[in-house]
Amino acid sequence: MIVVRNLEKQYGEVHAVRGLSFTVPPGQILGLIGPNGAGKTTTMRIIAGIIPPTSGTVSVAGRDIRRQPLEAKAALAYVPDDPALFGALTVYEHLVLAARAYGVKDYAQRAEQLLERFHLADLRDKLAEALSRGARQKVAICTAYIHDAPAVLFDEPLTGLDPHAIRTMKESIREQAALGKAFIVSSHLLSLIEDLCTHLLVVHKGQALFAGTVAEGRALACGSTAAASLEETFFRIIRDSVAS
Amino acid sequence: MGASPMLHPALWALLGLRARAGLRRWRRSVTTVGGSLAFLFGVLAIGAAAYPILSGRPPVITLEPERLGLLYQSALFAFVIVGQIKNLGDRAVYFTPGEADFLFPGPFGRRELLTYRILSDVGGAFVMSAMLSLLLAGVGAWWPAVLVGGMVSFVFLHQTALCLATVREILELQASSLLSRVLILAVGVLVVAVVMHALSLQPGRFAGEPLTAVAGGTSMERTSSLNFLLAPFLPFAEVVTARVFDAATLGWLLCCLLINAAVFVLLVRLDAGNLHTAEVMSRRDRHSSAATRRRAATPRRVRGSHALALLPHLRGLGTLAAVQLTTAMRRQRLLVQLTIIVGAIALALQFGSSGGGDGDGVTPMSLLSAVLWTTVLIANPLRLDFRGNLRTLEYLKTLPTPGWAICAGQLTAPVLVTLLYQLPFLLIAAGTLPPVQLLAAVCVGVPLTVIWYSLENITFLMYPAGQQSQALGDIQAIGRQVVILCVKLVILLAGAVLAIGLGVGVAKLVGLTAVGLVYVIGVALVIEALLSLVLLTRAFATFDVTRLAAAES
Repeated sequence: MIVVRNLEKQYGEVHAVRGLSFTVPPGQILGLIGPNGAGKTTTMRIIAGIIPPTSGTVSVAGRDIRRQPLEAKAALAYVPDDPALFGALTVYEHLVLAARAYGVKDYAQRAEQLLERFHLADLRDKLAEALSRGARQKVAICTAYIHDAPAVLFDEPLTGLDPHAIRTMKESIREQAALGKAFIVSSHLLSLIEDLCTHLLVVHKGQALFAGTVAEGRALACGSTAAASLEETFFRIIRDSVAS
Repeated sequence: MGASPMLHPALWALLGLRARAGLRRWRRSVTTVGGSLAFLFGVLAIGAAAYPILSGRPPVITLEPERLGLLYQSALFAFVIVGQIKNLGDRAVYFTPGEADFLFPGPFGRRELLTYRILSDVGGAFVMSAMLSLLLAGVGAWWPAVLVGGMVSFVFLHQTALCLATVREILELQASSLLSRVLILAVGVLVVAVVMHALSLQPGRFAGEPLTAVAGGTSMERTSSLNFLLAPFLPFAEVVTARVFDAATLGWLLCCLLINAAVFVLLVRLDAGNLHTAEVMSRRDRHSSAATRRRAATPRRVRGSHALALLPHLRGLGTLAAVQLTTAMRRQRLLVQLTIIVGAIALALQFGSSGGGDGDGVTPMSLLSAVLWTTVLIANPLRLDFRGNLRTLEYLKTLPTPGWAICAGQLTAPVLVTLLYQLPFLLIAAGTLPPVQLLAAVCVGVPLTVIWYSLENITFLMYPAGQQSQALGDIQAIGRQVVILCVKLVILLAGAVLAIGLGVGVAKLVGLTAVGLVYVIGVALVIEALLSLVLLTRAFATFDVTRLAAAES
């Protein structure tokens, strides 16, 4: 569903992403982890078609993000770490905007379901500029779900969410993955990754240090799939890379 | 503790660190081509103003102290009014999210925070006063007096603006939304009426072009109503127009200092009653667009709105235009602001045409001048496009919508609102201009407006950080903004000349009528407008969202 090949992004002398390659097939939830400045957000932005790569290819649902950007974007939903909303639009209008932009015809019922599910029904006529951080995050998540995209990118999706919303968020990701959607979830919350993701991609200084299942990661780091927590696994992988 | 009675040592330190940071940023930017050019232009602009004095030549125009004083008072009055209109809806006392997070929980009193705010805001007053002294020395003023008088004037202006904005904020909070709207509009109309009345008593009334109202100040006469209007600014004018620091001047200076102290005490009192709101609003800013220091004067809730579905999708153009138009409708601050600006200019134009005394009424040039300046004036606050959607650029880039549709959708709202505000001028002109000239105004005005907003957005996407408002006395920022404005005006002028040249050429070849000529020019300008849209689309496609942080800082 999402195929990344030899991805490079360079800002002057700085290599934000170096030769990254990975695939996220339908139904997979890939956890993208790494220290600050590892290149996670840059990678997500390139996949979402927000910034062009220096070299390499990205395809979403078989569409190249550079050659067929509109088709690739239509198959993708992206929620950034700090979503920006249109201040003078209401919560419901954001759903209308997303639905119309992605060509969703009968969105009313789905919009209502999403508002209910994420506890936004009471806020449906409230302007975005009056929303709390958590509520804005929920609106962004709802706009991502309204068009039923086969590939979904979440950058720090739990920021500002309350316990109920966190549970709903996790449930929704599992449900959608079971229906065949591909997810990339970037987060510093290793417990979230451990709880939710089927696969791991550890990046550091723009390079992939590990790509595989969570169990494989543990085995690689500690020689045993059962003993190590994801936190131990992560630090071991990073430490090994620094040492080498 | 050893704390200063006026300001905590930590706040003094912060002011110093901020000054060093500003210097560091300036050093860094001046090493770039764009930054050094902007600085050079800033220095050249100031140098051009200062040249007559530095070269030792006698001033070309020498104004008597009485005349200069009246002009100075009028300028201060205009500054207060324009500042209030420009900042309608902004918070009175603004702290950045960083300041709110670090300073509010700190061991600082509100009075200290206010002092810090004022000192950091008027830090550039010395530079501005120095520029003012050079400028006024060119009309015969004594520069040391202007330097001192200018500094106390800038402090006074800043504190007065904060006081007036705080009063407005308190009124807004205590009144209902509708009442506050009516109140703001009423105050605006009242101010316009008072100014018009005061000007109407002038013996040599300005005619035709609104901008001549300012230049025409040289022929202003003191009347009782004008004296009343300008009385608060008299002590400052007396200092600025002094020829020597004698006892009388020092007395006026003392008076200025006392006024500033009194205004500060008043500000502290007003702010104390508004403290909670000010703190909450400063904190809330963290969650709103970082580019906006404005408190959105919009209702918090909108019932049953389906505005976005009203326009056809048109590959995204219609939907995004609807988003921007909805924003325009809900930003009452913006619309009130524009109504006052355009209403005042239209009134002045009407007044000039009926009272100019020469019986010529509105001329095509005065109309064109009014429309041009209105568009330039409006375009700056009317940020219903990329300039006002800085943080949503990332979202727009993720949409499966063609770039041209996104760009055209962004331009639709500001262009339509501007055309709406140009309408009063057209209606005024309809009474006097022949139909062919009216047709020309429409054929030329619409595409030129599109081109202007395209240029605004192209320059914004190319230099987002360069569009931010400058700090007081920031020579580099002044230079940068002068350069950008000049470039935009030159491109607009070149486009107009090209279209007219093409029209005249075709008219000579084919033998067109006047109406035909207008149509050809109109078509040429439409093509230019489409080309500007292509350039804007290109600028949008290549805009790197990682520059957003720099633009917002």
